[in-house]
Amino acid sequence: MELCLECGVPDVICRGFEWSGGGSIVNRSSGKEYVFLDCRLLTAVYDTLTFLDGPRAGLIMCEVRRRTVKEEAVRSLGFLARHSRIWFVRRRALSGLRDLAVCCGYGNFRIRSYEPSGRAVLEVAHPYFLPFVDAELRAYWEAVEGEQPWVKMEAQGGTAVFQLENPESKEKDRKSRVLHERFRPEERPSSGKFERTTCTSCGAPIEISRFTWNLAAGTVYDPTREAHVCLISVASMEAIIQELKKHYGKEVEDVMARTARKYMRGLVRGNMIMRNLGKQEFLRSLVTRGEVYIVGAKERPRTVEIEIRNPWSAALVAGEIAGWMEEKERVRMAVEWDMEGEAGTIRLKPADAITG
Amino acid sequence: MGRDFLKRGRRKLEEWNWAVGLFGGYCGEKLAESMVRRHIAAAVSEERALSCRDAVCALREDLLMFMEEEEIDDILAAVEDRESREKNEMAD
Repeated sequence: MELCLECGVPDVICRGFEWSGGGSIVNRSSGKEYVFLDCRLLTAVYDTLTFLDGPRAGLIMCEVRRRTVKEEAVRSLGFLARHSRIWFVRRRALSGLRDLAVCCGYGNFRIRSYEPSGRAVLEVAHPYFLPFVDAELRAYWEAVEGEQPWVKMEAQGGTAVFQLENPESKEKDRKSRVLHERFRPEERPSSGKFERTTCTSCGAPIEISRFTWNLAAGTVYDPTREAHVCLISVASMEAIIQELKKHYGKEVEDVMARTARKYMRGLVRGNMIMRNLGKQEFLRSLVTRGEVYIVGAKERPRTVEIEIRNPWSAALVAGEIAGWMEEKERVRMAVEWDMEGEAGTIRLKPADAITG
Repeated sequence: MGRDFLKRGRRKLEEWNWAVGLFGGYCGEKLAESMVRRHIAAAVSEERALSCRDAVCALREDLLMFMEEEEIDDILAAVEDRESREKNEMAD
């Protein structure tokens, strides 16, 4: 693993991911979309839901994360690692996944020991979000070893030590899933506001060169937002949101939008760079992070209408935009979003203009 | 026996339906129900809070994760209103 000399993006990211025109980041090996999310936003959503419904909400989120990450890990592993029981092949596969985790900002995964019998001790420094790291380790282990591990976790300061062990069970059949057709814009903006330029050496969008990749710590830092981010699979996050909606109803999206809005307001309040960003710059930053594709933003008297495509989560994107605008313009905003398939509109109005 | 236990739990929650209604507008019926049962009803019935208002006040920091200050104040006003009405009814 090394960083591009020109833009500072790790080679694993340049080679393994593709920035499509549709405001999405695609993992080349698994074919899934990814998004740069603030670690603290993830924590805020998790904390809100666990406050409201207790550990059950946390369990739902972690279990879905484990299930989806396992599928992705199985897809991204090589043929040998998937079908061979040779332990050093599996060890290599585990290191490959570990490298990817480091570049995605999940933390530094150190394999302290890994025995052929299927027993390992892993040390995770700077975990981006501990409940998800636990779920991911179970998922990776299941993908590599073929069965769910017995896990013991001890967290000390900023480091967590996981002991994983294989219970005795038969290897299950693994099935792969068909890829979904991904949204692509019909016409790419020519000299428009959301045009991207790429690094001439590695091909990564030049906007992500502002991120600071610390490969030793396994963190990705966004100096504009002054927050750590992680590159996380959209399919996995969507599955989590769907599962939460199944349990708590549609209103859970409202709670998430509210949480994102509060989070964003807090972030902008203490951040001069974010406050001084122009509207176009802020929206473009969302496109680069793979959160959404912005078709256009219309400003009408007392209303801002943003036409979007392919958002990773319309509610959270709407919440983030509303929070940023509220803090920047110092006006309480009411936010609404309508989605029809992958296309939709986010409407922001000053709160006093809302009726009913 | 299990059925009796469930019935008792349901009856207890029915007493708190008004509070579920108050929070339901902000986080949905199901989450509000769970939150009221876990935090407010439990605090009052276990005598960790003197009144429902106190219980909501104690939760202010947590509620601020997804609610605005004014929204919490609105809820507190509604709770106070209900509690004073109940006191008056008891006095009568």
